[in-house]
Amino acid sequence: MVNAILPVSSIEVGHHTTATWLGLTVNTDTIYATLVAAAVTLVLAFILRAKVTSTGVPSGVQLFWEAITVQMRSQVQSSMGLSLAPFVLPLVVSLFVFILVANWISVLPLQYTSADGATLELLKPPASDINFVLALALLVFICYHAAGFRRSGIIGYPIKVTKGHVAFLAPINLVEEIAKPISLSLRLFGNIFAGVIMVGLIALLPTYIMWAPNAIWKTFDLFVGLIQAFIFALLTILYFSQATETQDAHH
Amino acid sequence: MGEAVISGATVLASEAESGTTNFLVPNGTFFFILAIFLVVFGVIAKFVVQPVQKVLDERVRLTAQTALDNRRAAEQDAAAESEFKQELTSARSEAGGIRDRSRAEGRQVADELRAVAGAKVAEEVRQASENLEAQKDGLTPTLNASVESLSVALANRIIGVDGGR
Repeated sequence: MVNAILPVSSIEVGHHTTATWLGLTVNTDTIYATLVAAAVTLVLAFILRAKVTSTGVPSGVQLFWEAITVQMRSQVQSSMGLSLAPFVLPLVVSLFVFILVANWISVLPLQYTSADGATLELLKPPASDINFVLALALLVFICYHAAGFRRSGIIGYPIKVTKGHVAFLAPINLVEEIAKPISLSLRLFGNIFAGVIMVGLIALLPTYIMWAPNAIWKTFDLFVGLIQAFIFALLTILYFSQATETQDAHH
Repeated sequence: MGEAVISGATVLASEAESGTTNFLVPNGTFFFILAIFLVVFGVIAKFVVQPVQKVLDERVRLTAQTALDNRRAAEQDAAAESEFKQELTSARSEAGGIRDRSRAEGRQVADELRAVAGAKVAEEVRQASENLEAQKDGLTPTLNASVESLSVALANRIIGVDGGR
Protein backbone atom coordinates (compact mmCIF):
# COMPACT_ATOMS: atom_id res chain seq x y z
CA MET A 1 0.00 0.00 0.00
CA VAL A 2 1.38 3.38 -0.97
CA ASN A 3 0.54 5.51 2.02
CA ALA A 4 3.03 8.37 2.04
CA ILE A 5 4.66 10.72 -0.39
CA LEU A 6 7.33 12.03 1.96
CA PRO A 7 9.88 9.66 3.46
CA VAL A 8 9.44 8.96 7.13
CA SER A 9 12.21 8.26 9.57
CA SER A 10 11.36 4.60 9.96
CA ILE A 11 13.07 3.73 6.66
CA GLU A 12 15.49 0.88 7.14
CA VAL A 13 18.70 0.92 5.18
CA GLY A 14 20.43 -2.16 3.83
CA HIS A 15 17.49 -4.35 4.76
CA HIS A 16 15.92 -6.48 2.05
CA THR A 17 12.77 -8.50 1.82
CA THR A 18 13.85 -11.99 0.91
CA ALA A 19 12.37 -15.15 -0.52
CA THR A 20 13.74 -18.49 -1.63
CA TRP A 21 13.56 -19.22 -5.36
CA LEU A 22 15.11 -22.29 -6.95
CA GLY A 23 16.87 -22.99 -3.67
CA LEU A 24 18.50 -19.54 -3.66
CA THR A 25 17.89 -16.73 -1.23
CA VAL A 26 16.89 -13.69 -3.27
CA ASN A 27 16.18 -10.08 -2.36
CA THR A 28 12.72 -9.69 -3.84
CA ASP A 29 12.71 -5.88 -3.53
CA THR A 30 15.89 -5.64 -5.61
CA ILE A 31 14.56 -8.07 -8.20
CA TYR A 32 11.29 -6.15 -8.34
CA ALA A 33 13.02 -2.80 -8.87
CA THR A 34 15.41 -4.35 -11.39
CA LEU A 35 12.47 -5.78 -13.31
CA VAL A 36 10.84 -2.36 -13.39
CA ALA A 37 14.10 -0.83 -14.68
CA ALA A 38 14.44 -3.61 -17.27
CA ALA A 39 10.82 -3.12 -18.33
CA VAL A 40 11.34 0.62 -18.83
CA THR A 41 14.50 -0.05 -20.83
CA LEU A 42 12.83 -2.73 -22.93
CA VAL A 43 9.78 -0.56 -23.63
CA LEU A 44 12.12 2.20 -24.85
CA ALA A 45 13.94 -0.37 -26.99
CA PHE A 46 10.72 -1.71 -28.53
CA ILE A 47 9.39 1.77 -29.20
CA LEU A 48 12.60 2.48 -31.08
CA ARG A 49 12.32 -0.82 -32.96
CA ALA A 50 8.80 0.04 -34.07
CA LYS A 51 9.48 3.59 -35.19
CA VAL A 52 13.13 3.64 -36.24
CA THR A 53 13.68 5.67 -39.40
CA SER A 54 16.67 6.86 -41.35
CA THR A 55 14.93 9.13 -43.84
CA GLY A 56 12.02 10.55 -41.84
CA VAL A 57 12.06 12.75 -38.76
CA PRO A 58 13.38 10.65 -35.86
CA SER A 59 11.16 10.34 -32.78
CA GLY A 60 12.25 11.43 -29.31
CA VAL A 61 12.95 7.84 -28.31
CA GLN A 62 15.15 7.40 -31.37
CA LEU A 63 17.03 10.60 -30.57
CA PHE A 64 17.57 9.32 -27.01
CA TRP A 65 19.04 6.04 -28.26
CA GLU A 66 20.94 7.72 -31.06
CA ALA A 67 22.54 10.23 -28.70
CA ILE A 68 23.68 7.46 -26.36
CA THR A 69 24.86 5.22 -29.18
CA VAL A 70 26.77 8.03 -30.87
CA GLN A 71 28.36 9.10 -27.61
CA MET A 72 29.37 5.54 -26.66
CA ARG A 73 30.50 4.75 -30.17
CA SER A 74 32.84 7.72 -30.23
CA GLN A 75 34.19 6.66 -26.83
CA VAL A 76 34.77 3.10 -28.03
CA GLN A 77 36.25 4.32 -31.30
CA SER A 78 38.70 6.69 -29.66
CA SER A 79 39.93 4.18 -27.09
CA MET A 80 40.01 0.84 -28.92
CA GLY A 81 38.30 0.96 -32.29
CA LEU A 82 35.00 -0.71 -33.11
CA SER A 83 36.31 -3.78 -34.87
CA LEU A 84 38.30 -5.36 -32.01
CA ALA A 85 35.28 -6.41 -29.99
CA PRO A 86 32.01 -5.64 -31.79
CA PHE A 87 29.86 -6.51 -28.76
CA VAL A 88 31.41 -3.76 -26.62
CA LEU A 89 29.17 -1.05 -28.05
CA PRO A 90 25.86 -2.83 -27.34
CA LEU A 91 27.22 -3.88 -23.95
CA VAL A 92 28.10 -0.36 -22.83
CA VAL A 93 24.89 1.08 -24.26
CA SER A 94 22.89 -1.53 -22.34
CA LEU A 95 24.91 -0.97 -19.18
CA PHE A 96 24.52 2.78 -19.36
CA VAL A 97 20.79 2.84 -20.01
CA PHE A 98 20.02 -0.01 -17.63
CA ILE A 99 22.00 1.50 -14.75
CA LEU A 100 20.66 4.97 -15.52
CA VAL A 101 17.04 3.81 -15.43
CA ALA A 102 17.74 1.67 -12.35
CA ASN A 103 19.23 4.68 -10.55
CA TRP A 104 16.49 7.05 -11.62
CA ILE A 105 13.45 4.94 -10.71
CA SER A 106 14.37 5.33 -7.03
CA VAL A 107 13.65 9.05 -7.29
CA LEU A 108 9.94 8.22 -7.22
CA PRO A 109 8.91 8.72 -3.58
CA LEU A 110 6.77 5.58 -3.32
CA GLN A 111 6.51 3.79 -0.01
CA TYR A 112 4.45 1.04 1.50
CA THR A 113 3.91 -0.32 4.98
CA SER A 114 4.74 -3.96 5.44
CA ALA A 115 2.68 -6.38 7.53
CA ASP A 116 4.80 -5.74 10.61
CA GLY A 117 4.32 -1.98 10.40
CA ALA A 118 7.65 -0.96 8.90
CA THR A 119 7.63 1.70 6.17
CA LEU A 120 9.57 0.54 3.14
CA GLU A 121 10.51 2.10 -0.16
CA LEU A 122 8.49 0.61 -2.99
CA LEU A 123 11.30 1.06 -5.50
CA LYS A 124 14.73 0.84 -3.95
CA PRO A 125 17.55 1.67 -6.32
CA PRO A 126 18.80 -1.77 -7.43
CA ALA A 127 22.39 -0.50 -7.35
CA SER A 128 22.11 -0.14 -3.58
CA ASP A 129 22.11 -3.95 -3.50
CA ILE A 130 25.54 -5.53 -3.78
CA ASN A 131 24.12 -8.31 -5.99
CA PHE A 132 23.15 -5.88 -8.74
CA VAL A 133 26.52 -4.16 -8.97
CA LEU A 134 28.46 -7.41 -8.63
CA ALA A 135 26.45 -9.09 -11.37
CA LEU A 136 27.18 -6.26 -13.79
CA ALA A 137 30.83 -5.77 -12.78
CA LEU A 138 31.66 -9.48 -12.94
CA LEU A 139 29.96 -9.79 -16.31
CA VAL A 140 32.11 -6.92 -17.57
CA PHE A 141 35.19 -8.50 -15.93
CA ILE A 142 34.61 -11.84 -17.66
CA CYS A 143 33.76 -10.23 -21.01
CA TYR A 144 36.84 -8.02 -21.22
CA HIS A 145 39.12 -10.84 -20.21
CA ALA A 146 37.47 -13.03 -22.85
CA ALA A 147 38.11 -10.30 -25.40
CA GLY A 148 41.72 -10.09 -24.19
CA PHE A 149 42.21 -13.84 -24.54
CA ARG A 150 40.76 -13.72 -28.04
CA ARG A 151 43.10 -10.89 -28.98
CA SER A 152 46.40 -11.99 -27.41
CA GLY A 153 45.97 -15.75 -27.15
CA ILE A 154 45.58 -18.26 -24.31
CA ILE A 155 49.23 -17.92 -23.28
CA GLY A 156 50.01 -14.42 -24.41
CA TYR A 157 47.17 -12.65 -22.66
CA PRO A 158 47.91 -13.73 -19.05
CA ILE A 159 51.57 -12.90 -19.61
CA LYS A 160 50.66 -9.50 -21.02
CA VAL A 161 48.28 -8.71 -18.16
CA THR A 162 50.77 -9.81 -15.50
CA LYS A 163 53.82 -8.23 -17.01
CA GLY A 164 52.28 -4.96 -18.02
CA HIS A 165 54.89 -2.48 -19.16
CA VAL A 166 57.75 -3.63 -16.94
CA ALA A 167 58.16 -7.09 -15.43
CA PHE A 168 58.97 -6.09 -11.86
CA LEU A 169 55.59 -4.40 -11.47
CA ALA A 170 53.83 -7.73 -11.98
CA PRO A 171 52.45 -7.96 -8.40
CA ILE A 172 50.99 -4.49 -8.68
CA ASN A 173 49.49 -5.38 -12.03
CA LEU A 174 47.80 -8.39 -10.49
CA VAL A 175 46.40 -6.31 -7.65
CA GLU A 176 45.18 -3.76 -10.17
CA GLU A 177 43.48 -6.48 -12.16
CA ILE A 178 41.70 -7.81 -9.07
CA ALA A 179 40.81 -4.29 -7.97
CA LYS A 180 39.08 -3.51 -11.26
CA PRO A 181 35.82 -5.43 -10.73
CA ILE A 182 35.77 -4.56 -7.02
CA SER A 183 36.20 -0.84 -7.61
CA LEU A 184 33.81 -0.92 -10.57
CA SER A 185 31.06 -2.53 -8.50
CA LEU A 186 31.66 -0.81 -5.17
CA ARG A 187 31.88 2.66 -6.75
CA LEU A 188 28.37 2.32 -8.11
CA PHE A 189 27.13 0.58 -4.97
CA GLY A 190 28.64 3.18 -2.65
CA ASN A 191 27.24 6.14 -4.53
CA ILE A 192 23.71 4.81 -4.77
CA PHE A 193 23.72 3.31 -1.29
CA ALA A 194 24.88 6.66 0.03
CA GLY A 195 21.86 8.18 -1.64
CA VAL A 196 19.57 5.81 0.22
CA ILE A 197 21.31 6.61 3.51
CA MET A 198 21.00 10.32 2.76
CA VAL A 199 17.26 9.97 2.26
CA GLY A 200 17.11 8.09 5.58
CA LEU A 201 19.04 10.85 7.30
CA ILE A 202 16.95 13.60 5.75
CA ALA A 203 13.88 11.72 6.94
CA LEU A 204 15.04 12.35 10.51
CA LEU A 205 14.40 16.06 10.06
CA PRO A 206 11.10 17.53 11.22
CA THR A 207 8.40 17.13 8.59
CA TYR A 208 7.87 20.88 8.05
CA ILE A 209 11.50 21.40 6.87
CA MET A 210 12.29 17.93 5.51
CA TRP A 211 10.90 18.56 2.02
CA ALA A 212 13.57 21.15 1.16
CA PRO A 213 16.74 19.06 1.66
CA ASN A 214 14.83 16.05 0.32
CA ALA A 215 13.98 17.84 -2.93
CA ILE A 216 17.53 19.12 -3.23
CA TRP A 217 19.01 15.71 -2.49
CA LYS A 218 16.73 13.83 -4.89
CA THR A 219 17.65 16.30 -7.63
CA PHE A 220 21.32 15.78 -6.90
CA ASP A 221 20.69 12.04 -6.77
CA LEU A 222 19.47 12.21 -10.38
CA PHE A 223 22.79 13.78 -11.31
CA VAL A 224 24.74 11.18 -9.29
CA GLY A 225 22.77 8.39 -10.94
CA LEU A 226 23.58 9.76 -14.41
CA ILE A 227 27.26 10.27 -13.62
CA GLN A 228 27.64 6.84 -12.08
CA ALA A 229 25.95 5.14 -15.04
CA PHE A 230 28.23 7.05 -17.39
CA ILE A 231 31.35 6.22 -15.37
CA PHE A 232 30.41 2.55 -15.27
CA ALA A 233 30.06 2.49 -19.07
CA LEU A 234 33.22 4.55 -19.57
CA LEU A 235 35.31 2.29 -17.33
CA THR A 236 33.93 -0.74 -19.12
CA ILE A 237 35.23 0.70 -22.38
CA LEU A 238 38.54 1.53 -20.72
CA TYR A 239 38.99 -1.99 -19.36
CA PHE A 240 38.12 -3.46 -22.75
CA SER A 241 40.66 -1.24 -24.47
CA GLN A 242 43.34 -2.20 -21.92
CA ALA A 243 42.58 -5.87 -22.40
CA THR A 244 42.60 -5.75 -26.18
CA GLU A 245 45.61 -3.50 -26.79
CA THR A 246 48.80 -5.18 -27.96
CA GLN A 247 52.40 -4.36 -27.14
CA ASP A 248 53.15 -2.81 -30.50
CA ALA A 249 50.05 -0.68 -30.37
CA HIS A 250 51.22 1.61 -27.60
CA HIS A 251 51.01 5.25 -28.52
CA MET B 1 10.67 6.11 15.26
CA GLY B 2 13.10 5.72 18.09
CA GLU B 3 13.82 2.10 17.47
CA ALA B 4 14.16 2.65 13.73
CA VAL B 5 17.49 1.64 12.34
CA ILE B 6 18.93 4.37 10.18
CA SER B 7 22.52 3.89 9.27
CA GLY B 8 23.83 0.99 7.23
CA ALA B 9 26.55 0.38 9.77
CA THR B 10 24.02 -0.04 12.52
CA VAL B 11 22.03 -2.47 10.38
CA LEU B 12 25.17 -4.37 9.60
CA ALA B 13 26.17 -4.54 13.25
CA SER B 14 22.75 -5.53 14.47
CA GLU B 15 22.36 -8.16 11.77
CA ALA B 16 25.81 -9.56 12.51
CA GLU B 17 24.87 -9.75 16.17
CA SER B 18 21.55 -11.38 15.56
CA GLY B 19 23.10 -13.81 13.08
CA THR B 20 20.99 -12.67 10.08
CA THR B 21 22.47 -12.17 6.62
CA ASN B 22 25.02 -9.46 5.89
CA PHE B 23 23.69 -7.29 3.10
CA LEU B 24 27.19 -6.82 1.68
CA VAL B 25 27.44 -10.54 0.92
CA PRO B 26 25.89 -11.46 -2.41
CA ASN B 27 23.21 -14.11 -2.53
CA GLY B 28 21.02 -15.75 -5.16
CA THR B 29 19.78 -12.36 -6.32
CA PHE B 30 23.05 -12.15 -8.25
CA PHE B 31 21.96 -14.77 -10.79
CA PHE B 32 18.52 -13.29 -11.32
CA ILE B 33 19.97 -9.83 -11.86
CA LEU B 34 22.49 -11.30 -14.28
CA ALA B 35 19.72 -13.06 -16.20
CA ILE B 36 17.61 -9.88 -16.34
CA PHE B 37 20.57 -7.87 -17.57
CA LEU B 38 21.47 -10.45 -20.21
CA VAL B 39 17.92 -10.23 -21.56
CA VAL B 40 18.17 -6.42 -21.64
CA PHE B 41 21.57 -6.70 -23.29
CA GLY B 42 20.26 -9.09 -25.94
CA VAL B 43 17.28 -6.89 -26.76
CA ILE B 44 19.36 -3.72 -26.90
CA ALA B 45 22.06 -5.32 -29.03
CA LYS B 46 19.48 -6.67 -31.47
CA PHE B 47 16.74 -4.06 -31.46
CA VAL B 48 18.56 -0.85 -30.58
CA VAL B 49 22.26 -0.71 -31.37
CA GLN B 50 21.99 -2.57 -34.69
CA PRO B 51 19.15 -0.47 -36.13
CA VAL B 52 20.61 2.75 -34.72
CA GLN B 53 23.99 2.00 -36.26
CA LYS B 54 22.26 1.16 -39.51
CA VAL B 55 20.40 4.47 -39.32
CA LEU B 56 23.61 6.36 -38.60
CA ASP B 57 25.45 4.67 -41.46
CA GLU B 58 22.49 5.24 -43.75
CA ARG B 59 22.44 8.90 -42.78
CA VAL B 60 26.16 9.25 -43.49
CA ARG B 61 25.61 7.53 -46.83
CA LEU B 62 22.67 9.80 -47.67
CA THR B 63 24.68 12.88 -46.75
CA ALA B 64 27.58 11.76 -48.91
CA GLN B 65 25.13 10.92 -51.71
CA THR B 66 23.54 14.36 -51.48
CA ALA B 67 26.95 16.03 -51.55
CA LEU B 68 27.89 13.94 -54.59
CA ASP B 69 24.58 14.79 -56.27
CA ASN B 70 25.14 18.46 -55.58
CA ARG B 71 28.61 18.33 -57.07
CA ARG B 72 27.38 16.43 -60.08
CA ALA B 73 24.52 18.88 -60.58
CA ALA B 74 26.93 21.81 -60.34
CA GLU B 75 29.18 20.14 -62.89
CA GLN B 76 26.25 19.53 -65.22
CA ASP B 77 25.14 23.11 -64.75
CA ALA B 78 28.60 24.39 -65.63
CA ALA B 79 28.79 22.08 -68.63
CA ALA B 80 25.37 23.22 -69.86
CA GLU B 81 26.41 26.82 -69.35
CA SER B 82 29.60 26.45 -71.36
CA GLU B 83 27.79 24.46 -74.03
CA PHE B 84 25.19 27.20 -74.22
CA LYS B 85 27.88 29.83 -74.57
CA GLN B 86 29.63 27.81 -77.24
CA GLU B 87 26.39 27.33 -79.14
CA LEU B 88 25.68 31.00 -78.82
CA THR B 89 29.10 31.93 -80.19
CA SER B 90 28.82 29.55 -83.11
CA ALA B 91 25.28 30.70 -83.83
CA ARG B 92 26.48 34.28 -83.77
CA SER B 93 29.34 33.58 -86.16
CA GLU B 94 26.99 31.57 -88.36
CA ALA B 95 24.56 34.44 -88.41
CA GLY B 96 27.39 36.81 -89.32
CA GLY B 97 28.43 34.49 -92.13
CA ILE B 98 24.93 34.27 -93.44
CA ARG B 99 24.61 38.02 -93.31
CA ASP B 100 27.90 38.46 -95.22
CA ARG B 101 26.97 35.84 -97.73
CA SER B 102 23.54 37.30 -98.37
CA ARG B 103 25.01 40.77 -98.69
CA ALA B 104 27.47 39.46 -101.26
CA GLU B 105 24.69 37.61 -103.05
CA GLY B 106 22.56 40.70 -103.08
CA ARG B 107 25.40 42.71 -104.50
CA GLN B 108 25.98 40.09 -107.14
CA VAL B 109 22.30 40.03 -108.08
CA ALA B 110 22.27 43.80 -108.26
CA ASP B 111 25.39 43.79 -110.41
CA GLU B 112 23.90 41.18 -112.70
CA LEU B 113 20.69 43.08 -113.04
CA ARG B 114 22.60 46.27 -113.62
CA ALA B 115 24.68 44.57 -116.31
CA VAL B 116 21.54 43.16 -117.93
CA ALA B 117 19.86 46.52 -117.82
CA GLY B 118 23.00 48.20 -119.19
CA ALA B 119 23.09 45.71 -122.07
CA LYS B 120 19.44 46.24 -122.77
CA VAL B 121 19.90 50.00 -122.78
CA ALA B 122 22.88 49.72 -125.09
CA GLU B 123 20.90 47.42 -127.37
CA GLU B 124 17.94 49.79 -127.47
CA VAL B 125 20.21 52.76 -128.09
CA ARG B 126 21.88 50.83 -130.89
CA GLN B 127 18.52 49.81 -132.41
CA ALA B 128 17.24 53.33 -132.15
CA SER B 129 20.30 54.72 -133.81
CA GLU B 130 20.01 52.02 -136.47
CA ASN B 131 16.43 52.97 -137.01
CA LEU B 132 17.36 56.57 -137.26
CA GLU B 133 20.13 55.67 -139.67
CA ALA B 134 17.74 53.61 -141.77
CA GLN B 135 15.18 56.35 -141.81
CA LYS B 136 17.87 58.80 -142.68
CA ASP B 137 19.06 56.55 -145.49
CA GLY B 138 15.48 56.08 -146.70
CA LEU B 139 14.65 59.76 -146.60
CA THR B 140 17.90 61.20 -147.97
CA PRO B 141 17.40 60.12 -151.73
CA THR B 142 13.85 61.28 -151.68
CA LEU B 143 14.76 64.58 -150.26
CA ASN B 144 17.77 64.81 -152.56
CA ALA B 145 15.45 64.24 -155.53
CA SER B 146 13.04 66.82 -154.42
CA VAL B 147 15.77 69.41 -153.85
CA GLU B 148 15.93 70.23 -157.60
CA SER B 149 12.30 70.85 -158.20
CA LEU B 150 11.98 72.76 -155.00
CA SER B 151 14.95 74.90 -155.94
CA VAL B 152 13.45 75.60 -159.41
CA ALA B 153 10.08 76.38 -157.93
CA LEU B 154 11.66 78.68 -155.39
CA ALA B 155 13.76 80.43 -158.00
CA ASN B 156 10.77 80.78 -160.30
CA ARG B 157 8.76 82.28 -157.47
CA ILE B 158 11.48 84.75 -156.77
CA ILE B 159 11.82 85.80 -160.37
CA GLY B 160 8.17 85.53 -161.00
CA VAL B 161 8.37 83.13 -163.84
CA ASP B 162 5.93 80.38 -164.08
CA GLY B 163 8.03 77.47 -164.83
CA GLY B 164 5.86 76.13 -167.54
CA ARG B 165 3.17 74.86 -165.33
